[in-house]
Amino acid sequence: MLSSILVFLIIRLVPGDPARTLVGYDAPIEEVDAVRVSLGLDQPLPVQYVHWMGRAVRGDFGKSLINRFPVGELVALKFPATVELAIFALLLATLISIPLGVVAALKAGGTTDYVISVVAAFFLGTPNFWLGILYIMIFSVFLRLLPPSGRVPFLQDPLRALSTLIMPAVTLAIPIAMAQMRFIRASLLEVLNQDYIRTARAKGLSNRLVVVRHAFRNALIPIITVLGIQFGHLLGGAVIVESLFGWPGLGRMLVESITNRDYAITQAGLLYLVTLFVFVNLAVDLLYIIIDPRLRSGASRR
Amino acid sequence: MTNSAETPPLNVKRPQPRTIVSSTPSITVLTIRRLLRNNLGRLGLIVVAFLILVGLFAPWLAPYDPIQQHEGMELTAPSAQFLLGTDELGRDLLSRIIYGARISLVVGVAAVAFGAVVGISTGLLAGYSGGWGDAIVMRIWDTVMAFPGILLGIAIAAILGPGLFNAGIAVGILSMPSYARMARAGMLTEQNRDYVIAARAMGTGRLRIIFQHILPNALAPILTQVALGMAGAVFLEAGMSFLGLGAQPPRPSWGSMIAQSRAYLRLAPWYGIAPGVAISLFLIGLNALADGLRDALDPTHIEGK
Repeated sequence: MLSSILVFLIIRLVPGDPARTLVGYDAPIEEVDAVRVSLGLDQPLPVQYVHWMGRAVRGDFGKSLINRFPVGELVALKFPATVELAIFALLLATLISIPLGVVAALKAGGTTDYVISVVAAFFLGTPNFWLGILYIMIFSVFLRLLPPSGRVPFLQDPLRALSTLIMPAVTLAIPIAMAQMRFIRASLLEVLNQDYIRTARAKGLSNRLVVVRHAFRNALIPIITVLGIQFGHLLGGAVIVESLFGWPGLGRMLVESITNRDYAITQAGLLYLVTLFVFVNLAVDLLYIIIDPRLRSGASRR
Repeated sequence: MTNSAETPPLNVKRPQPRTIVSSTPSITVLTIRRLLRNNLGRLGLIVVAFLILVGLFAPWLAPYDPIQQHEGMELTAPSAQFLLGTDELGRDLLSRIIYGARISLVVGVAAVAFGAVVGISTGLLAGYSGGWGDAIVMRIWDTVMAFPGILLGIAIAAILGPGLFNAGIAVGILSMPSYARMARAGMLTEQNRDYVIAARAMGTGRLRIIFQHILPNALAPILTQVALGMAGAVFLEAGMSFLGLGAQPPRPSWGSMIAQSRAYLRLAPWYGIAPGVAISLFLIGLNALADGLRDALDPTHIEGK
């Protein structure tokens, strides 16, 4: 709710007059005013907000100021692409980060750990759009294995879909995987020093069982708390990655709408992404309670 | 946070104090000394210092004017004349990268300064006053902090319009919460120290206590954040410029150079590679410096990884 007001205000306070931009700078003032009235931009801000919000909850975000295409439909059209990319990237990030993090923690201080941390530092210090360009160079330009941009929907042709999906997803996933790997390593190291791990070992449990059953489960808790923040990075990264790979998702739509000064789209895009972000964080909080039984009775302790 | 905090390994070699000096060196001197002894920190310091010098002396170092177009020399490969080749308008890439360092530095420093001043003052005041004011201010910063950075950057670019200055403002706002948090934490630990009580007893004014007595003492950990914040700022500026929401042409920002190079990946692969290497070098240097500073400042952090 609060963030919706924020999103609305932010966009409406933009200097520059959408009506004027739409009609053209040399159009007569009467024509500009007519357009402004037809867009509802002549009303006071709170009235505009209530109208916008009332329609927004019904999925109606108005029409694109540029081509009069209904924004709600546009968002619905772009949404699956972003979700597909995000889910695939998150999956990849998990698949990469868990084994690496566990190995790094178990071999802490060793060569393997060192190599992993150097690789992580490299990927965390390299902008993802540049890595994406390197991938395009290698896999599309030189090896000609993958298409450099575009998207084929998954249900239409899974194989070709995968070939368009893989590069953006990897680009998006790797920095997130590296950050997550660091958390897993730190969290697991902390847990491995606890008394109950020593007890488990003393009982004669195999190392594998100790790590999988006892350590990893407990190490998971702090990892889940950062999952929501990671998802934020994912959304932010998606904006860049979608633009880079010509992925027809919400992020690219958002960037294009700013360049075109198409407010209706910018607002809807931002509101959608922010809502998604807020909901995922809520889900993470709930998940947190499920995983850590201690929190169920402990009421407001975080 | 580290595993070794509770059970330090026995074979760790602690650095021996060099000489016993009669007067204790200040914390700043100690920190710099420790930073230089740390491999990672030294590497970071060298890289960052190098890029700062490059940015400062850009006009003398760059072989050409970064926006001068050499006709008939478009997209040439690296050669003796153009060490890193030229772009689609025949501009020397090396010169553009050298001037690009300037843009990254200016945005980074300005954004960090803006973010640090606002963040630190609100954090200190929040910590000092406590209660409702504290809660409200810190909730606001929590919200900003949780917000995905580039989305906020985009929102701000949407309000203020695309451009380098506005990108800097966005980056600055995004960096405020972390300074506020650290300053507040520093305030909470320093607040009840004897020197503060003494100052208060002597009737020193509130603001004077906060900014003249407490701030210098709480400043050390904030230094790490400054290095990290610079990295974040450089990263975000590059990202926004890449999207076309930061530096506008013909300014030679690294991010926008990468964006423009996309069209010529086949013809001129060096075009896209060179500015990316520059960004990565800067970011990795800043991160290493931040890690080194953290180790140097944290007395519980034991040498080694």
